[in-house]
Amino acid sequence: MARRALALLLVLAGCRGKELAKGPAWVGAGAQTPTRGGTLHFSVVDGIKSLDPAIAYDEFSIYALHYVGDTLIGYGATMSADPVQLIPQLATNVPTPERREVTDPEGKPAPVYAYVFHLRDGITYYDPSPPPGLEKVRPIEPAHFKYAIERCLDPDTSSPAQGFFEAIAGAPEMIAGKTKQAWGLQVTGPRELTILLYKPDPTLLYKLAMKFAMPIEPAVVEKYGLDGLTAHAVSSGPFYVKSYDRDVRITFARNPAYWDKDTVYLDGIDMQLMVERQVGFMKFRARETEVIDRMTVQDLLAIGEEPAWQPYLIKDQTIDVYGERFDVTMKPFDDKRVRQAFNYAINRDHLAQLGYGTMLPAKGPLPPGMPGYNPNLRGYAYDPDKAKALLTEAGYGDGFAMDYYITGPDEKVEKIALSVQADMARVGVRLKIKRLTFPVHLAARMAQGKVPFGLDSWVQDFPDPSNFLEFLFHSKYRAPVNSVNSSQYSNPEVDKLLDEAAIELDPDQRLAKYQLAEQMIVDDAPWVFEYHSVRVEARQPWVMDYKMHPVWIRDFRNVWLDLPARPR
Amino acid sequence: MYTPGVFDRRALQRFKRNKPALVGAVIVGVVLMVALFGPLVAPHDPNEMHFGPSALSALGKPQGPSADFPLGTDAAGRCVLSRLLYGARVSLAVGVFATAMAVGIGLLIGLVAGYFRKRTDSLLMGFTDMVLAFPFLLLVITVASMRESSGLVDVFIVLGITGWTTMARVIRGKVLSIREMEYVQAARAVGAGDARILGRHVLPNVIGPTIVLGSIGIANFILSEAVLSYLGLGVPPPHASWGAMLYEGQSLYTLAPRLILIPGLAIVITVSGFNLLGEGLRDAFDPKDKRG
Repeated sequence: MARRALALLLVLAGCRGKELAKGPAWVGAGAQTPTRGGTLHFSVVDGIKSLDPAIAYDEFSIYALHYVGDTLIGYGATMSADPVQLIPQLATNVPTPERREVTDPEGKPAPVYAYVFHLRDGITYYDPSPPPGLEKVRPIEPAHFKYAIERCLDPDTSSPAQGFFEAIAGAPEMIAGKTKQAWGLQVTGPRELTILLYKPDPTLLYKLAMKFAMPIEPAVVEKYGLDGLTAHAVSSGPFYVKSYDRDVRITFARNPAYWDKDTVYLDGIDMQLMVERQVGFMKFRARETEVIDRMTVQDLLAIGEEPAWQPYLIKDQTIDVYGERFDVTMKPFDDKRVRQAFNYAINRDHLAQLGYGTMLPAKGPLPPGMPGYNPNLRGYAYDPDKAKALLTEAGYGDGFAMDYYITGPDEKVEKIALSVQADMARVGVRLKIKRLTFPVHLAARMAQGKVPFGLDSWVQDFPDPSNFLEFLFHSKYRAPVNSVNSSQYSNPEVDKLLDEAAIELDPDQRLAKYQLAEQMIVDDAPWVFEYHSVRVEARQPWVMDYKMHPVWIRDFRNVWLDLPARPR
Repeated sequence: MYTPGVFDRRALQRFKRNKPALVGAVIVGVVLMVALFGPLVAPHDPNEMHFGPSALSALGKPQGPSADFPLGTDAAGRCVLSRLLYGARVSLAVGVFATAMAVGIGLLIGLVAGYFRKRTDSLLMGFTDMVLAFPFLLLVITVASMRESSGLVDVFIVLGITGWTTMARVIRGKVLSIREMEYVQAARAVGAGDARILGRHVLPNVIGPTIVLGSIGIANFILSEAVLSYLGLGVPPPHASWGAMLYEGQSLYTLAPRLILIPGLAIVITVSGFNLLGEGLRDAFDPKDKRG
């Protein structure tokens, strides 16, 4: 019996491999130009938390909101040369700030920076089941953008976006609950919105491209209330919500009143919710879904090494950084030489080889694809001799033992930890791996003086170097607990550069300052920057012009289906 | 003086006639040899990660058996055979030392409780029942995660201080009946003290059940170590143990089933060996208890 079970297991394992070897079962019809029609299906591992743009802040809610909502400015198309470039969407311009003298609500003169947005003509909402008294198609007004941002600032909304719009004049007062409107948000004409800031904020435009700034009508919010927008989502985007079955699926249909119809080829999107990873892969194999990501290690390896699948695998850079961070206030890492020694001792190529093709060795914090990424950054090559020499110089020639904190259980993280442990043992540092659950680890590494050395990571909020360099390395983000600057790193020169860059309006000079700051940070080595993630997706052969969008991840504008697909 | 038990020639004969018990003894013997001499024949350092093409593909896929790696490599590019051989040492060491600890504690508590009876007995057995009432795994996990440092010795301790209860209960029962035996009464009548009676007359008579429980205990502790390591609370990485190998291999169970089959089989065979041996010893020492 045991032998039969064993044989069965082996046969099962073998079968899987053979099926994969044949590659995808179906191919497209062979159309040469984009054609309209068809529904694209995909599954995600979790449900949707909210479709209220002031509330939604998780990956899958944002996917859904992205299909039903446009913003004043958005990002370039996925297949374009620069998908992280800001382009006009519901506005007709990407404004550059102008200096103005205005008077604040108290009548005092206030020098401000003004961003003036001109709204596109003919932009509308589409509401398939409008509340009584309202039309299905309704115009989008400048006041709706003002209202959307003020909803985020209003303490009663408890929006995670409050902080993003802090720079707008009058926002701090509104956050504090003192006022009900921010005077820096002004409707200055029938198609014009002006946003006033005391200090320039080059990241404002990125924040306005987030779904928090989608236009909303006060009438709809009043009718459906704070929690009602998930059940009653009004579309300002390429699709509208056709049906929503909580934690099962949400379907979208093409918005007939959309302003930018030419970019929408799909009739609909079927997003299946709460589908476990292995099941998701099986659905993809059974042609129930068109694209698949987040594959399990074995599915990734099986499909990743199969030649027949190679044309249909999409590998894309994710804008993030992973590594080990030191607490620079703790011994022995208050000594820069020790930190540099770790950087020289760890073999990043080995780490990448353990990552199933999902890791790109890193030199510094900024990943390729990020504006300001510096291919000429001076990083640390693998050099254990140099590491040993630096340790000796710092007085640790005989090595030392210490705890090394990782999160788990996580197969990839643990393998990386093993490799780091082995590399460090080679230069005499004996690491003892300690595995903590993610929330415990997060709290510990963001506290000062708790974790001398351990895993850390950062994933973008928006594709701007400030989002990495300022949060992780500016001394003003240090704190005894909940320290965003988790390495407790502080360098006045870096601070100065980051402060200058934060208000620098010339994009080239701004990026140059960030590159300079990045080099100084890498030289100071508050982290061992190890790798940037590569996201691996597979598509069915009839899914055309698709790859991962660096910000939206699953953006299906311009994507088309080569139907009718047929068996190979 | 009549002291039945360990050194009884009839027991040895009964054991020799018991085929399953002999199989068990052979398995245990082989596992012992592997644990003692395995590392001498291991082809590689069990913790060394290999990055060459015979160990890991470019994508990081572990490779199957080859001349370099007779049982292939694991997901971290380490030699599975070497890890299996070194892991035998860990599994056996945990089994033996945890059992030794459990036997030590259990024997002491069982002897004292059974011999002195009354309040001592109620107190000690009350405590034993309390420990016994806790779900074993939950208790082990709690103790294991409470301890600041985790190492091999900690695994012994955790398993030892949670696994002695059955031993204490059985020994106490045995002592309760032995202390009423005529030879104990006689010893007491001629003026022997408690220590002498316990050491010379009671202890030798409980050695039999102790050995039986011990050998079955080893099997249980090997399993417990596997469970702990599987939950990530066992021997710390990078050290090999069979449970840890199972844990590390599970994410690749369809792609490289050998990564869980090999340590899994090692555990099944070893545990079966100790169980067969234990059963055989019980039958040999205590023919009256023979069922069926």
